[in-house]
Formats: sequence, C-alpha cells, structure tokens
Amino acid sequence: MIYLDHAATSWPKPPSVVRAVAECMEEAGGNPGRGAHPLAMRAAEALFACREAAASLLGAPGPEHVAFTMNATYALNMAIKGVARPGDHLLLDSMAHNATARPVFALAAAGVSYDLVDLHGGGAAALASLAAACRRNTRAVIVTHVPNISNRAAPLSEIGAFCRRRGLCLIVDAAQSAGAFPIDAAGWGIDVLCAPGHKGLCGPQGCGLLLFGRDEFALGPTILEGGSGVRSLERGMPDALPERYEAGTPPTPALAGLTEGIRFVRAHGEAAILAHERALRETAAAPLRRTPRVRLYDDGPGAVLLFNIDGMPSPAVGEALAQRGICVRAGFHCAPLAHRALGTGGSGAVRASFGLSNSPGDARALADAVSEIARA
Amino acid sequence: MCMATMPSMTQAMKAKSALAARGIEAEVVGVDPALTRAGCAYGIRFDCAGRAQAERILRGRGIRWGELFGVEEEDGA
Repeated sequence: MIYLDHAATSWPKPPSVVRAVAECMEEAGGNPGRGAHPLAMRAAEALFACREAAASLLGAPGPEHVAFTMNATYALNMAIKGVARPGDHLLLDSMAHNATARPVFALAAAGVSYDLVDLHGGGAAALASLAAACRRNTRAVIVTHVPNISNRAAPLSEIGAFCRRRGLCLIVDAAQSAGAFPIDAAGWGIDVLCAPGHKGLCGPQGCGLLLFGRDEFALGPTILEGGSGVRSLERGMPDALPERYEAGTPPTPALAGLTEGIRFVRAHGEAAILAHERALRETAAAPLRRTPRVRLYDDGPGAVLLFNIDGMPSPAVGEALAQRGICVRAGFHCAPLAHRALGTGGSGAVRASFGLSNSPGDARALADAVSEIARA
Repeated sequence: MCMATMPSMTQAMKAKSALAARGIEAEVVGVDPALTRAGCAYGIRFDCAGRAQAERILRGRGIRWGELFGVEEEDGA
C-alpha cells in the first residue's frame, strides 16, 4: 500500500512515537495535575516536556504558552470565539478550511461580520488585500498558513507586522504547516497559533495545540470550563496559562507521543522535510503535466498535488487509486472556500499529499496509476 | 526546606526546570489547599540554603510564585 494522504494525517508514525505512547500508558498512567502521587507527577512531566518541545519548535515565548486541545479545530474554535464579540468584524482567509470558516460563519449569525481576503498571492498583494478590507471595527485576521489543497504559504511575518501596526489580533491555522515549515510565532507577531499534533508534527491523533505568541495577549471568556487541577474552589477557570484553556483530562499518552514526533521533526529539520516532499511531488507531477485528460491545479512546489481527470468525478478517481493500493483523498477536503478560489468548487478534486515516509517510487507509482486510469 | 506556591502545575514544572538548570534541586509537590484559600494547588520544594538564589532565578525568568515559606521536613515516621 502507498500512503499519500499525509495532509489528512501523517502515517506511519515514527517508531519513537509509538513507543512513547505505550511507555506513557505503562509508566506514567496518572492524571496530570490531578494529585501529587508519582504516577500523576510522571504524567505532568510528560505534558511539560511536550509544552517545551512545542514552544521551542514553533516559537512560543515559553512552555506555559502552549495549551493542549483535542485537535486544531478545537483550538481554532477557542481562539476565534474567544476573540470576536458582537459588532466586531473579522478578516478570513479565502483559502480557509472549514475549521476556521465554520466558526466564523457561526459567529456571523450572532452579530459578527466578516470579509474574505486573498492572502496567498505574495506579500504585497496580501497586505493590499488586508488594507482594503480593514474596517474601523475589524478585530482579527484569521489566516490559513498553508491551505490543505494548495502549496502557497501566506506571508505570516508580513501579516503579523500589519496586524501589530493596526492593533489586530492574528490567529493562524497551521494545520498543514506545523512541522513542515519553519514557524516563529513570537517573532512573527502571531497572537494565537493552532495546530494538530497528528499531521506534520508526527504525533498521534487526539491532540492539538493552542499556542500563544505573546505574553500580554489573552482571549476573552473561555468557551470550555471544567476541572483544571488548580484553584478548584473558584467558580471560573484559573487565569494562569495554559491551564485556563485546558478543561478536563488531557490525552497524556498522545502528548507523550507528540513530544517524540516533534523531536523527530527537529532531527530531520523542516527545510529538509519540505524539500523531500516537494521533490516527490514534482516526480509525480512532471509526467502528469503531459498526460492527456489530467488537469493539475495550483501547480507550484509543495507537498500537495491536486488534480482531476477530465470526465471522471474525483471520488471515482480516488476509488480507482485505492483499488491499486494508493491512498489519496478526493472531494472537497472540508475546504469549499479554497476549492472555489482554485476553480474546483463545482466538483472538487483529487489530492495526493506526500510525507517524509514516501519514496520516489511512491511518486512514480502514483503517476503511472493516474496515467493508466486516464487512458482507460 | 522551603516551599513556594505556584499558580499552576505548568508554572511549578517551569520553576523546577529553571532551578535545575542553575543547579538547585527542586521537587514539585501538592500544596495543602488550606494554605491557598482557592483549592488545589502545587508548589516547589527546595533547600532553604538556596532560597535567595532561587528567588533571583525565578524572578529573572519571569516566574511568579504565591507565597514562599519554610516547611518542616518529614521524619519518615
């Protein structure tokens, strides 16, 4: 089987990740921050190690600026709904995934307005889009760093500088970029960066990051409340980061695995990982550009190859590839706005996404299989 | 021994790590809720001989603590 769906979740996980999950369950099986006995303390140490690793990789000011969530979607909901108030105006990336679009749409029903902005056409164009769309009541800019069906990264450092000048909150969806692109949350002026643990960071599913890039930044009222392990006689969540945003028991074994996933990324380096993925993508794309009936979209360097075969619905192409042992994802990828921006909003497309575990042979096998399906 | 109450488990871990990096051994411990008036809490316990240095280190790293006081060592009974 050839796995080319790394944009959905990376697989296989590094052996060190799998071992860390098992070891955590066997040796650190207490509830972190709930009690002070040895197993609870070992679990708390596992969480702290993950916070330190994530803060260091993604440029948070400190480990306490990393809160754990179930996934990036939870983190984005907490960030977006924690910032916007009725009467506010938001600027939403036109390449947004539903993880950011749907929270904004939900807020729109509660008196928050928004506009879509194109942030993936280069620095000058992105800043011009922002300046043109900014209003007196604009509160936040919500950016998809790298869309899940495109390879074009938003110029975060420039957008961050714009937001600082205008006093806007910058929320970043790093679902596709964390672990694949260098990120400096504090240095780039990112207020909140949201990332899953299970994609480029190579961790298990069930864990995500809500990372604060600035000391002085704070969200408004929490949207999740519950046990935090501290200040339990008070009615509200504690003020201190990160516990304020961590209601309930965290997925400690998954986070122990995530720590090893982050170490794995650091050992390889994001630049080397991205170069590897780009090379594989090009190995597959080159022959397909000459293949009749095959249409490539957003055909730039990156880990994602988006395509269609003329006359075939994308799910049928995905199924034909699955029958040949190749795992890709077809359809709309939970990103109807991005598909519309790329011109595939009518019927979606097929997405092959490469990862560190893939080889040039995998890329050639994809090209051969797509060519064979297109000839049929 | 000395104990400093911390606003959260994460801050307690961060304090322990900061002190360890400067050669001061500290342990994260649960704090008697009666001391905090807010319920469950954590703190760090370390040798009072290094108290002044520990305070400098924590202050230098921007790590806040609640109260810092001496505690009696358990006698193992």
